[in-house]
Amino acid sequence: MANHSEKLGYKDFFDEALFTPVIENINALISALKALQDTIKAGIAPTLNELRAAINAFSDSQRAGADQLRKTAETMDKAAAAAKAYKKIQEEVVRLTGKKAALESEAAQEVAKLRLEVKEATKELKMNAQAATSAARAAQALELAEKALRGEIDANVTSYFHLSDALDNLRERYKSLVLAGKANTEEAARLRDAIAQLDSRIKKADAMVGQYQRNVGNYAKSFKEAMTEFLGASGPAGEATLALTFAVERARDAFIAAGGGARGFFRAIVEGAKALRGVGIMLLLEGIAKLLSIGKDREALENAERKLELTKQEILLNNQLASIKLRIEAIDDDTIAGLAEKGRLLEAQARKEIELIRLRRQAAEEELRRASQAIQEEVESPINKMLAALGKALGGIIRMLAYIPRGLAAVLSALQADKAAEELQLIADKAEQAASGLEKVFASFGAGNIAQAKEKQASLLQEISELSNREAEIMQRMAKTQEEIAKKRQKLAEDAIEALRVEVERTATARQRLADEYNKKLQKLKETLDEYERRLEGGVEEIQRIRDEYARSAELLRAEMARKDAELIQESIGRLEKIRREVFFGALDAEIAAINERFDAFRGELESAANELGEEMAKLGFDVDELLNRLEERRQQAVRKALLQAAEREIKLREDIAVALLEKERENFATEEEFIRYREKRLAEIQIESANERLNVLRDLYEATGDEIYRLEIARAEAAIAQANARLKEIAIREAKEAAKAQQEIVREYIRAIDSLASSLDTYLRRIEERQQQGLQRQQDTLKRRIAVYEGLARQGALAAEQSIAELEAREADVVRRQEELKRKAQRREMALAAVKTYVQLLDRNAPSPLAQTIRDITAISQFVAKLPTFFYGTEFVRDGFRIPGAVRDALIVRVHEGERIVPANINRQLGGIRNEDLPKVVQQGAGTARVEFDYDSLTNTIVTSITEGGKRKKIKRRL
Amino acid sequence: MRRIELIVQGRPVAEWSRWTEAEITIARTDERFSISSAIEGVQLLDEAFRVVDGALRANKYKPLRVVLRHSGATWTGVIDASRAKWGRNRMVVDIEIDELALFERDVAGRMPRVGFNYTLALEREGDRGAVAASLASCLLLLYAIIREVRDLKEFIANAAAHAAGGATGPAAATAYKIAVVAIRVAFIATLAIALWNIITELLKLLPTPKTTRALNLGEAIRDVVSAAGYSVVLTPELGKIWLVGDTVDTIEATELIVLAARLLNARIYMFNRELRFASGAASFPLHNVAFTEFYSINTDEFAGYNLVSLARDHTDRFSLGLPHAAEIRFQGYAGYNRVDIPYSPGRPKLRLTDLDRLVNIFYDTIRTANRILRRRVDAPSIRTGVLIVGNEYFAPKIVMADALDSLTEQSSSALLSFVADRYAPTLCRVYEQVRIPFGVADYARLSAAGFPGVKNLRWAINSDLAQVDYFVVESAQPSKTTRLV
Repeated sequence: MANHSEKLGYKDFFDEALFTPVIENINALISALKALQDTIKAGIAPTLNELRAAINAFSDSQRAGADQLRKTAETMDKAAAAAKAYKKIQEEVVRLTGKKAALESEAAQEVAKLRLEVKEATKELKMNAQAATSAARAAQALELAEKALRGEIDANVTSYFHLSDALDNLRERYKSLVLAGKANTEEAARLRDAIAQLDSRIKKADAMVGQYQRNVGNYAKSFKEAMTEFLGASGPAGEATLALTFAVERARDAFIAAGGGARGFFRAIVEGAKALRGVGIMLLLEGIAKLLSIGKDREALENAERKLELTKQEILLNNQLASIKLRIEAIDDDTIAGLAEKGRLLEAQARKEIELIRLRRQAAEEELRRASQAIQEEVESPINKMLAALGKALGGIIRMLAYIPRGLAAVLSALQADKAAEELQLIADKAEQAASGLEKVFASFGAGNIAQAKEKQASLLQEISELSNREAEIMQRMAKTQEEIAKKRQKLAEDAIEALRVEVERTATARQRLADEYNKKLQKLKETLDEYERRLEGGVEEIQRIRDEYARSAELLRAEMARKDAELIQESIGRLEKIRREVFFGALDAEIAAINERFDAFRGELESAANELGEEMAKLGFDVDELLNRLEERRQQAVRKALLQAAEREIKLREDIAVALLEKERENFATEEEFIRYREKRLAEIQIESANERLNVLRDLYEATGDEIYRLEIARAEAAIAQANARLKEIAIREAKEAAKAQQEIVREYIRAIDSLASSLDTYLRRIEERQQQGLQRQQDTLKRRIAVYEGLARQGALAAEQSIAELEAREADVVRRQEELKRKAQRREMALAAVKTYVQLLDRNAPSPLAQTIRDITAISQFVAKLPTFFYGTEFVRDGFRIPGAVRDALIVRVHEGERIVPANINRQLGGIRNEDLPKVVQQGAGTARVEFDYDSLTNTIVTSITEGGKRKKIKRRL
Repeated sequence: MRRIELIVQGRPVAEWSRWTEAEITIARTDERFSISSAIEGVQLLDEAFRVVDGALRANKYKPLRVVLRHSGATWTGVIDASRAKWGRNRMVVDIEIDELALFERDVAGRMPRVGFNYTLALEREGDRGAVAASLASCLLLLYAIIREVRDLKEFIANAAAHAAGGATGPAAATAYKIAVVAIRVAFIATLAIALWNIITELLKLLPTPKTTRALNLGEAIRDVVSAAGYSVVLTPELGKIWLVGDTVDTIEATELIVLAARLLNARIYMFNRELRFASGAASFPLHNVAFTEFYSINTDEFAGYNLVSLARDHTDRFSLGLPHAAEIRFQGYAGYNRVDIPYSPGRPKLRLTDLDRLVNIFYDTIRTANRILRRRVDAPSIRTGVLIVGNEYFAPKIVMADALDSLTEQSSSALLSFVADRYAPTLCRVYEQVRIPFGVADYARLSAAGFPGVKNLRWAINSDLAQVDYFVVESAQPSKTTRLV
């Protein structure tokens, strides 16, 4: 065997006559069927005999009425019908016997199919078999192993076969424990130790005889173990097959243990026969059961097929489950990757367990349905009903007939024939009993089946309930486990962030220490330089030399410090990157790998189903390629989702890192207050950046998955952005206000300066204008004087030809024009100054848009003033006008024109409100005192005396 | 001796005394010949008393006009009740004769009704700074109005919402809100007015035709004189003199007459209720009947330097450069005579600028629109040949031209040239206090000729003698130099 260990084949696993017992068993099955026929026959015969006896008793005891006889004949007919049914069963048995041959080939096909499935399952079965051996066997093996390891002498201990068998048993047990989640129990530990030591011991023994198969490949054994586990887990048939393999194995082991040859051959026969006995019995039992069900009806075969399918499914699920459990054990859950993998596997495990439970439950429910249907059928069976009715009818007849002896007994009792009466009473009682018995017999044709079915029903219901409970437990456990994993993952992430923060701080501290160290060195160097400079005072060259040396040394120190600093930073970056990678990237890789694996499995299943169904799949309307494409699409979606989720976590981590690193920037700020402001703003910015990135990722996630939870997350991210933006806006407004305040203050300073400058400029310009005005005025005065002179000269006739009063007047007019221009300039200047002052005042009051307000107000006021009433012809009393804000209460803005005069209020009061038009009269009257003038009239030679008083004039003439 | 008749209300009365004291005085001043007489202490008896008393009573003691007639010559006098004294069946009155004064009293206060609308060109002087400020103000006011309106709208909406929401506050709150709304509305209205004013001011900076009033001096004088019941004899030149300005319609009649007299260098006098302008110098026609040895020369009245000056309008930059004065010199002679004419010269617009054409297009559009809308709104356009001014409000202009809408470059100086030509004083011998025989016929001949050569004349009507100061024009006259400045 060892020589052919590299080339494995069917013969390595099964003997050539492996299925011979199966054929034999089928033959035995046929025998069993015959026995069954006998049993049925035996079951019906007593009933018939009883019936016959009852009828005889009836005939003997009653022999009454033709009707009764006719009924009896009918009953006989019914019995004949029952016999017919029996005959039919007989025919069925014959038919089944004819089907034996076909069954043989079917069984062979089943086995072949099973073999194929075994082959397919082999890949997954490595560490995943349910131990068929019992715990007791394992305990015995353990005891044996420990005994052997302790050095105790025993026949079993010294037997290679026993030890090898024990090792296998121990392994089986250990694996069972592992699969049961008891890998960390004391028992498992003991088993582990025992297996390790026993294995080592056996290997040594093998090596001593040149066998090394245990150390190479060991595929065959692995396969067998897997087969063992598989078959052990697949019900009686599986166990039978397993037992067969064990028999073969035991025979082979015995052969090997006996050293081969004739001895080994006989030994193998003995051991194999022992094992085959068990196999034969098991197969026989199962065969009987199967044939019984086959004999029962055609559905039994279908049930068998269903069970086989169920078993197949269970095997597959169990294999996958075992594989998952073993992988879980191997996971390191101290990393996020490990945790992710563990979470995924646990989920897969739970899913498989649930799937298994559902499969079983589905089967149980199907069974339940069938049981219910059987009960229903049994209850509603016309034969049963007919038999029950028949029983009741017969019972009724018998009871009626029993009244006759009872009546006779009463008569005889009355006649003092007590004994005869007693006899007759006894007969009547017996007839009653016979009636009851008959009814029971006829009623009991279906009751047994119904009771059996109901029992089964109850059992199935209980099983379904248990399965449901178990499913709920699994779900709960899964949720709890995932929660724990999530917590652990969170903790790991927090630890990582803390580690990052610590790393950052550590680096900062190290850099500070480095800086302190080198600053100290530089300080010391400087002190040395100072000391030597002091010593070498006077020696210019020497001092210069040591200074150069100092500069070189200091430069070297600084360069060294810079290099070390850079190294520190580089190392820190490396460590940070490592932490980051450890925490996240591994997890992502694991997650993607898991996704790929899962989808590969789906793909495999799909392809397998496609192969099995062949063209049927197309007929059913499934396009394999399309399905595969969809599967690939879903896989890509899942990978994308994983990537995006990882990206989201990465973003969160980066945000946390950025926040952690922010604290380190404190040293860049002169005051804590400045840093707090900076931090507040920077925090909001970081949050916005991060939230924006998250938003993109979440949108992609939502797009990829359509999961509403991401919509919620998107909304939260958007809300976070909005909040951060609002905070930033608030900060910006606050800063803008502060800046504006500062700027306003500066502007105000400028404005004040401009104001004072404007005032100074105004004063200066006013002075200039005044001077210009004075100059013009002087010019005008001069011109006027010159005009007066010219007029005088003209009167005297002394005005020269080149002297022109008209010209002077023209010049004077020009001067007046310039004066007017100056006045307009002054008005504009005053307006501008007023605007500046208004603007400054508005600025001081922090008025909104002061410039616009200034222009608006000035314009409005000037326009308003322009609309004020004017006094071209003067007025006696100024009442209407625009009041000057902030001025004395009766100060009004009015318009006057050149040449008009304003009379102060006190003088105006003295005038008593006299009309302007009357003023000249007052003046005239004031000047109009009596005046006397004299004249000589030569024409009339008279003296004329004129007396003028007011507006009156009187002339008096006195002739000379 | 012929009796002087006193006619009261067309009825001659005989019982009046001191008629022998009546004398006519003719006085020559720079502007007029005043013919006056004052008969004081006239006693009215019997019928005369009754007539005059009745007339005064009927006239409610207002001055009573009476006529003195002597040999066909008549003079209108006045009996003033304030100087009258009533006695028993008689009264004492003063009879004063001054026809020019009466005329002035009749025409005084009358304003010409012959003014007409005249469209001149107005081109204001734009100040760049003011324009920029106006534009900025315009924008800001517009912005302020929009903001205020928006705020007001919101405020009203809020107030309405508050009220609709079941305002349970006191009525004072509602009143307050209404008051705030009213104040804001008023503020918005003020802003809107200011905005409109600024826009108007900006538009005013564009060249534009301005419609003002104008009148012809001759027609105006004729109008006011005839309105008072008199007639006038005008020289043709007065019909070419035009006054332009917003207030020319309000120039009073005596102002117009005085202006005409100054422009013509003439003296006004009345002759048979007819106003006349006497100009030029002529010798006294009765010089040959007079006998006197000594005379003097009127150099006191003769000015060597005469200045006729028009008013300067500083608001009109276009007229400032025009000649404002006519200088008339008689070299070597003493004397200064100044005549101020209170009107400013006007400059004619002689060409259209591109901007004018643009504005005309605008006005053409308005006219078209008005035509389409059938609105009778006259929208004038800027033309040449009319006056141009630099300010909306300008001093009244005086121009001499055939027509106001076909002015030429010479129109701005034509008046001064004309006035300068009219100012031609003459050297004369002056004979004073010469007693000459003088009768009604002489008086009639002199007055019909405009009292030529008369300086002063006193004629005692009843004595056939007159004492006269008169001129006789010298044969040699000095040469005149005229310059427009």
